[in-house]
Amino acid sequence: MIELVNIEKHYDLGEMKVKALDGISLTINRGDFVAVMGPSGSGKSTLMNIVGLLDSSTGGTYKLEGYEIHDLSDKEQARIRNRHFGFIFQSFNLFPELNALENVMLPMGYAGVSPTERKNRAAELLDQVGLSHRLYHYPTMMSGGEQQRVAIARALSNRPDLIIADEPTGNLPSDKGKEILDTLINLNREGVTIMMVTHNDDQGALAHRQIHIRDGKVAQVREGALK
Amino acid sequence: MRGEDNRIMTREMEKKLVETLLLILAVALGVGVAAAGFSLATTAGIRSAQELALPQYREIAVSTRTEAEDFDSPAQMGSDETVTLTIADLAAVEEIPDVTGGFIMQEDNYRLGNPMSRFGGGQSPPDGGGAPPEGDMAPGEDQPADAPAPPQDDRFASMQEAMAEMNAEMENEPEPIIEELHGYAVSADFFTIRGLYTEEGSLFTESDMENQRPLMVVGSEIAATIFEDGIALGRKLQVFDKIYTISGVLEETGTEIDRRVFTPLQVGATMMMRGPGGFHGDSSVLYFSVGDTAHLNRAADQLLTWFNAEYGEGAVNLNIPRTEAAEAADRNGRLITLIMFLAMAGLMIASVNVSNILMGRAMRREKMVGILKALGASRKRIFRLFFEEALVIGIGGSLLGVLLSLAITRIMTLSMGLEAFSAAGVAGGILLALAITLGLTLYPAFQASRIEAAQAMRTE
Ligand SMILES: Nc1ncnc2c1ncn2[C@@H]1O[C@H](COP(=O)(O)OP(=O)(O)OP(=O)(O)O)[C@@H](O)[C@H]1O
Ligand SMILES: [Mg+2]
Repeated sequence: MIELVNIEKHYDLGEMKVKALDGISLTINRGDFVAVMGPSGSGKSTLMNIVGLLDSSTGGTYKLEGYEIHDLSDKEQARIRNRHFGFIFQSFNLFPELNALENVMLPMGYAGVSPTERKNRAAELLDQVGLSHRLYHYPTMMSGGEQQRVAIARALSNRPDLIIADEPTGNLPSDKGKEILDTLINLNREGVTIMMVTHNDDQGALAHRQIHIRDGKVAQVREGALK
Repeated sequence: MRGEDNRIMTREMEKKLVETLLLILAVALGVGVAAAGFSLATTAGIRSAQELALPQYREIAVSTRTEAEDFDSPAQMGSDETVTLTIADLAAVEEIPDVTGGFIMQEDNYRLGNPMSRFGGGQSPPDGGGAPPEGDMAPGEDQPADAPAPPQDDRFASMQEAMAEMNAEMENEPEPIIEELHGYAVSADFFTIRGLYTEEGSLFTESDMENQRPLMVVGSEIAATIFEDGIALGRKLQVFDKIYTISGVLEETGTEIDRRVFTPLQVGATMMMRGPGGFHGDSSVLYFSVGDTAHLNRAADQLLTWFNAEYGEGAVNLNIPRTEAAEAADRNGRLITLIMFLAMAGLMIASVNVSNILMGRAMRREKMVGILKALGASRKRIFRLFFEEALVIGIGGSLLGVLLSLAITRIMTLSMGLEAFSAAGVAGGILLALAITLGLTLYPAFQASRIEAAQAMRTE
């Protein structure tokens, strides 16, 4: 599904050159559950952003379903992010101006789904993550765990092929983190490919594969238990 | 397509209502001032052009030295060197190719009413008042010889006779409610050269002048007010020893002409008895009309040469009214340029500020842009999102600005008595202001669309 070859991300800060990614090559297959691990500042988020088309690499090639990403227009990339990717962030990143329902509805708007249909589907998704009683709550009225579940519902709204989750449990207490992880595992069982950054070894152990990153390079690839 | 992202913008705007309203107000001020400036400039420009196109600004006025100076030194009035300009001097028209026509004009006052009553002698009516003769004059008229006899010679008798005749003629005429008229004795070409036409009746002609017919053409305002019933045409007016018939009423011009009367210049007639003002014989001014205003100065030089040859060096004075009017127009033009500059400066200050604030707004919402992009927003979508917001401010401000410019032009019109509103001027100003405002608000929207999602996500 995804093929990275020698991906580099260099920041040119005048005197200093920061090599956030320094020749990363990896393949992610459909149905994979990949955990990206490594120390702080090693380049995990940078990698996720490049894979998620939120950032562009300064070197190497990125192929998605055989297509060279570099050749795609902004509009096409936006369409891929909308239809095929689902993002989950450490800090939830819900829109404070919108209630839970509207937050989940938003990406479906970009996909051209009619307002009534997206409202129905959003309510359904929120029900699936156990928030049917929080539809009209604004993010500031919800707990961290609830917010992250809204974010998951939002990531799932257009039935993505790949979930890109950068430390989705990082801001949550361990029991709430476990709930989120269980949700992701269930999604993976339903066939959704998952790429997740985690600092937690136990969580990493649940993935098919752990990719360890150090100083912008792949340090180690370990097959997990779940396979 | 309206989506939840639009709702974010709307709610954000509602939350920052005061800031949004201030932005709209800033745009309104800029647009209003610019549109008012445009409107003022347009009307002033049109007015200048129209004014300079008037017939009197293609004329050269020729007067005698004494006429020009008599304000300062009236003692010279009767001096031997006095030159009297006459209708014969219009012959200059034939001599100078640039000059296409000419007329002579003599300022005059026309005191209305029976002179005998004023002088208090002779055949004055028994009541002795200022009223013109009424029916009770009839017996005296029937037997003039029986009248109380003042010491008299033949001349006086004939005058008395003439007066009696006049009284008879005026007998059934209504009394004017104006005491004195101001106007000019003019040669017939005056009307054609000045482009004046009658609303009722007719203008007098050259033959009327030659036959010394006592006709009077009156301005529209005089026509409407001279008699109580508002009718003027065909009525008779007694002015000292003359009875004028109102033979024409001029079309309304909106100028001083409306309040003036015109009589045929009496060729060669003695001026001795003209009104209480006395001797007016040398107050004539000749006006020569020039076909092409570019040749005004050349024509003036030639006229001066002609008159110098006729009357001697320095006998006449030339004046070109256009020179002064053009200078005034030029001064106005510079003032308008300054006003325009200030208006545009106001617009720019407002627009730049609005743009700056919108820029700040966009940058504060960097994170939002990042998330929207992650969820599938294209650059175009982000641009539109921010531009719509700018549009609301721009359009709202412009609408308010239109009202403001209407108010400003209205106030200017009322306070200066000049028409300051021009629809084209306001429209032009609004369009330009809108273009500048939108241009400057496009930039923040463009910047917002270029926000890199990955960078935006790192900011908290
Ligand atoms: N805009 C930038 N300019 C310069 N350096 C940058 C920029 N963005 C990121 N970096 C650097 O790139 C490196 C990788 O950053 P990244 O956020 O990917 O780390 P990470 O592995 O996600 O760390 P963490 O576990 O703390 O989230 C860091 O050293 C960071 O300082
Ligand atoms: Mg990170």
